[in-house]
Amino acid sequence: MSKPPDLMQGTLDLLLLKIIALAPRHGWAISQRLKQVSGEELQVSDGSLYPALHKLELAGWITAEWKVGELGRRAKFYTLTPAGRRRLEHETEHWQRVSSAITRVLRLKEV
Amino acid sequence: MVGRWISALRARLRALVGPGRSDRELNDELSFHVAMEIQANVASGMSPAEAERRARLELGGMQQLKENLRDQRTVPWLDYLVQDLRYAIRTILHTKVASAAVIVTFAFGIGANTAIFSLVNSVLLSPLPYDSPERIMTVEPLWTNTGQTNTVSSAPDFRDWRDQNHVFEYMAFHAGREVRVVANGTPIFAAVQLVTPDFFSVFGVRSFRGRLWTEAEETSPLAVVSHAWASSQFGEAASAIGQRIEVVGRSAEIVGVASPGFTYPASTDMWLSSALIPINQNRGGHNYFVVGKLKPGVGVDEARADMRVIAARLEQEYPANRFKSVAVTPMLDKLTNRAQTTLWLLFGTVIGVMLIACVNVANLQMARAAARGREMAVRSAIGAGPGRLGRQVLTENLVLGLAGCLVGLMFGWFTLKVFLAMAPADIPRLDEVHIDGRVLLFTLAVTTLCSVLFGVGPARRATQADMSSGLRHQTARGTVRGIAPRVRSTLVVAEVALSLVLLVASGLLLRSFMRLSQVDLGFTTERVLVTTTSYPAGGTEATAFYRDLIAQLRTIPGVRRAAGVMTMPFDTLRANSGYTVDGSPTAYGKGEPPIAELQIVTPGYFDTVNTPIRAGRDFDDGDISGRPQVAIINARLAREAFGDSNPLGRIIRTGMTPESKQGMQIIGVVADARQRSPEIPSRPEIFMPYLQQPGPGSRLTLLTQTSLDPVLLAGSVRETARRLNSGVPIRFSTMDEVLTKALSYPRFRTVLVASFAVLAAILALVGIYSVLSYLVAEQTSEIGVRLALGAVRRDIFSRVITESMRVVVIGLAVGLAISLIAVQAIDTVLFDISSRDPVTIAAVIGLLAVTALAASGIPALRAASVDPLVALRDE
Repeated sequence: MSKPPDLMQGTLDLLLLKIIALAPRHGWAISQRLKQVSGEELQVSDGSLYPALHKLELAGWITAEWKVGELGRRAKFYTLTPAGRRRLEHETEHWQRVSSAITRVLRLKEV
Repeated sequence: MVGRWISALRARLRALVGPGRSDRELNDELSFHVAMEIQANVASGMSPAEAERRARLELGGMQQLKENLRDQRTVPWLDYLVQDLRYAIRTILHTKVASAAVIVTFAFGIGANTAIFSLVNSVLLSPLPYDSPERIMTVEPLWTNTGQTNTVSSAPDFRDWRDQNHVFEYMAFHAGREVRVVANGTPIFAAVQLVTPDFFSVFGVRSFRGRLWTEAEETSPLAVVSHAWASSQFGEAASAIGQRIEVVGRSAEIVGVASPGFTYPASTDMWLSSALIPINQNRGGHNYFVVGKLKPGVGVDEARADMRVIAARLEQEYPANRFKSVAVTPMLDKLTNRAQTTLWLLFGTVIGVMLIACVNVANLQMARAAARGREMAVRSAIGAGPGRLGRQVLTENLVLGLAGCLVGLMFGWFTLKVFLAMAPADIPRLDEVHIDGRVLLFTLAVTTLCSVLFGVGPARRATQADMSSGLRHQTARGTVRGIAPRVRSTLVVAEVALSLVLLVASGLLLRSFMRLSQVDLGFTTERVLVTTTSYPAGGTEATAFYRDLIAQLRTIPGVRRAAGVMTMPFDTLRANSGYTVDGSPTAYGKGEPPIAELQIVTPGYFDTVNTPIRAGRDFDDGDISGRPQVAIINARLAREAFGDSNPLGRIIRTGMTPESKQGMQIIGVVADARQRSPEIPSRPEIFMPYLQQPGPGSRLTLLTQTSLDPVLLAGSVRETARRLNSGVPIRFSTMDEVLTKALSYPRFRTVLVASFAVLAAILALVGIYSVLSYLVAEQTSEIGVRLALGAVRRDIFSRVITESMRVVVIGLAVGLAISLIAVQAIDTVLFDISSRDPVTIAAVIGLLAVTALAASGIPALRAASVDPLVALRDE
């Protein structure tokens, strides 16, 4: 299975924060939600999902909690921290600025 | 923000403290994911086997993922630290000689610092071991005309101070000496202090057993004994209570034992109520040490102001208080006053030693770094960042520093033991000296600072050399040439300068001590046995005992002369009083009350100590009570009070005793003698015959001039005294020992400063030697080329010598400049020599120059004997 093109540096963090902000979820659910919303375009390999989640946890943007999930098994649920929420707002705003700038550039007509 | 750090920290800590648990959680998390994925895959129609294969594939290598996650969670610097430590120890073991040199050099500096700082810390810095020690003050008369304080006060002054002040919570006085005490039927010497009731409150001392006495009981003969004395006399402290002891011929009851450890002043055995020893009620008779405890919140300045108002009032009221103000000094300052100069001087010296040690370490580290330039370049080339290399150098230096610190602490502990053994016994609080937490902290701080500043700095400089040149070079060294020689020359300049300063200081102290040892004291100390006794009774009974004893001592074979004296030379507690001469109301003209030291002697005293009688006669057996009162004055008093006129036959009066107040005829003039200290010129002095002054004359120290070793006569002297009275305790010493003790401070500081200066000089010479050796080794190939091209070996030799001496001479010049300024600090402890004594300075410069020349000779010889073939092949 070929890997999808790498997401832009830092973009995965933003997506994860956003998805977790919607509702606390465990890793598999986050992965599913990501696929569901973005279609195959933004597919994130599960192999890079968990390191990214753990990095966010170590940075203190999200915290983890063990709860009983589907199948009656223990699952690790991630929740956004207040700092993570501020981070998300900041990153979102940043993303919008950058992407609209890029869009403006791309709209330029060739002469 | 804080919340973010906390949750991040928690995640990391979890990984650090419970790697097992965190591994399991990782497992659980991933296997849950796999299980969910399988279920989803099966639901979408895959076979279970296919579903599992796809699920695992999706996740990537499970094991590798776990590795990644684990790495993310551990603390990398801890790993690096362990690695750095391992690497540092391996490097240190690999370069044993160089490492040992660094460690030993550090150890010398740190050991010397630890030992001296322990002394400074315990003696000068630690608070006194009493309750609220900062509020305890000494109160003394201050003569406004001379600016001198008097140490002891008069009892009436004390009472007025105590009753009229608004600043002291308690005020008390004490006075004492070693006297005869009979406990359990045995006559012994004990250190007793007459004290007023509030004495114990000043120090916040409570009774360990029994009680302390109250003001109302002051007139009863009561004693409180020290815990140590009670234990040694009665086996158990508590059993001392209620015992009766005989003190100075009177019976006293022990009512209390002081709390353990309290022996103020010095090592006092017991404190007595004033009923036992009559108090001198004369306002001009200064006998008592006044101590006080300030009220909480009262500052020293406020106390001074309040006390001065009282003193000014007393000055108006009593003629004896003319020019007498009052000084209030924190007790810690007063106690350590004399030791302060010596200890700070030593502290300055060891800091100098430490600096030289550090410079040496810097030198050694630079040489090491240079030798490892290639290694560093290689490591840098294969990817070690500058931070990583720097951290490694830091670790290495800290390990070396700590090793040096450990060895230094052992060295310091040993040195401290030696110091304590040779320290003057009258340095206060010596029993409190120990290596405590503060000393360890100090040592550790010094070590770390020096390791970082003097080890890492130079090593960093060396590693910063660019790696391409390091790799290109064939030899191991060479990368740091160009910067290092100048830096190292500067280091040598610093070493030479510092050791010159220390050597000048120690040279001056040495010469000062030699002069002090040879000063004309005005009396002999050779072959004089000192016998201390204490007669149970006072007055004429005691003087009769001494008269008979002296007469019998003179009959002992080997005894040439024998006499008695009240205050021994160099005794710090000396009686003094104002005096007047009949017919010369303004002897001093300026209105200053003339003050004289007062001394009681037996006939024959001046002969016994070889003090010449300049005019008139000595006392004789006819100078007894009932005959005309007589006195002998010293030359200084004769000069100051009588000028050129003849003092013989004139009448002199002092306030010491009723007898001396009535006026005494001057019958003789004796040569001046340094009674207070070998360092202090004699003051005006009045001698009075013991048989006419039965009060103070009842406690004499006996001096016996012998033709043999005085110690050999101790047995017969003891027998003679016992035959006269078996109840007197006896102790022996010699006048030489008395002098040795008087010189113990200057000797202590001279020996210590000189030892440290020599240590510093040796370190500096080793530094010069190692720098030169290194420079020569570095230039071997260059020298080889020169030789191959026809250079003369002698030129090579002199070139190296010239190069080194140029640096040494700069160092000497810098050191000389510093010496001329810095060494003035020891002017106050120098005797009869200026801190800029040209002879000493020249001698030290010469000595240092010659030894530096010798130290550079060996590397120079090595340079001159380079084999051009070998040198060139090396390249």
